[in-house]
Amino acid sequence: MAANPRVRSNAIAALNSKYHRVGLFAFLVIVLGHWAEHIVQAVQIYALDWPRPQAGGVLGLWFPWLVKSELMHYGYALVMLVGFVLLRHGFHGRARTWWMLALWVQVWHHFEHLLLFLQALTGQNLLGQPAPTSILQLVLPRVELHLFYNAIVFIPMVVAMVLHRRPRFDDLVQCSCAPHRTPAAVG
Amino acid sequence: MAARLLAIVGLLMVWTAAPAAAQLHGDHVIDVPFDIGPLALKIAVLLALPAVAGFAMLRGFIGAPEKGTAAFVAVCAAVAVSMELLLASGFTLPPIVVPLALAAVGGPLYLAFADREAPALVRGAAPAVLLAAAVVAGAVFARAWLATPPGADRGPILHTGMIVAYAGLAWLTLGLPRNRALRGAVLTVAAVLGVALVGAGTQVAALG
Repeated sequence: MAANPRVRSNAIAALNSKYHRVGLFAFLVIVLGHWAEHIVQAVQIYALDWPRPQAGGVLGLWFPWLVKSELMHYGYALVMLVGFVLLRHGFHGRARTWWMLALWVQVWHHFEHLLLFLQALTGQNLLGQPAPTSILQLVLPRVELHLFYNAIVFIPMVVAMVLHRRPRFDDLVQCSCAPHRTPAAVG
Repeated sequence: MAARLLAIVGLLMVWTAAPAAAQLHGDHVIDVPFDIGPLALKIAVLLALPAVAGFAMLRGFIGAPEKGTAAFVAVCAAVAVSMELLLASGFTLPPIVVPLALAAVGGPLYLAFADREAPALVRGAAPAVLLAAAVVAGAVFARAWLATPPGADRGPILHTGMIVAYAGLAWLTLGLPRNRALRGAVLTVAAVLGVALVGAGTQVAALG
């Protein structure tokens, strides 16, 4: 990988070069696992006609507290944010633009979850609302806000990964996940 | 390539729509195994308040802040706004002001930690943002102190004014007008807003 002054430690440099492919794969597994849980929930509600409180995905069936705990949701938002930050140096060109877009949306999503976590932790709800509330719920009608957040983080993330795997010549990188093509072979 | 990307985005949107429709976030009985109460939030606000208000009152005497000072004040303002949102039992301005205040406090915070200097346009706009926030916060504080009958709950009004004041004062870290008279006016407004912030903060602390 070309020397990048922003890469501050050897571990992060290795993660963004030699182990970038492994890192991205692990990150993708976490994200897809989260989505898979929600898709199972959708099947339980719409195909199997389960009542919503019982539709806990897969893990929620064995560990119902896990689905109900804001700690888990906050933990997931934090892991996502850390992943975006740590893996960003490996992206270049258009892929980096999409990755950074996903990162900044995740910064806001994480902040919303931090506030929800603090509300649950302190018993002080946002602006005296009767239940823990997100900022955007104050101005938008009741929507599936956090799933919407997950979607608008996930979409640019996947686009970034696709562009990263199929770089243009000026986006070519030398991390482990870049295809091994000579500049002449790149269309 | 663009068509392929569009197809990927479209597919992902359809894919993510199903679980989005299936799950209401409110259905999480949002909880954690313990409740620490609001004391930590109050302590955070009481630590942030003197930093922001003190900076506002002293800015005219200390010159342009170093990067670290600007970052500290911006962090304190951001923490204070976030904590105030949780401590307030209501908000007396339209709800759209809440994300605007967060965006306003987030701007200086981002620039304080950015590698590059704040753009000239942003530095030029900083006094205007501060003055606009001061006008709104001043009106809210005036309503709390002058137009609220004795015995009525001033808490939500004061918290609202404080949120707007913190958001405005964060911009004091970015720049001042070059014109001497305008500079003096902005510094005076900032100092008065800082004093009002201390007064409001003390009063809400006393109100509990």
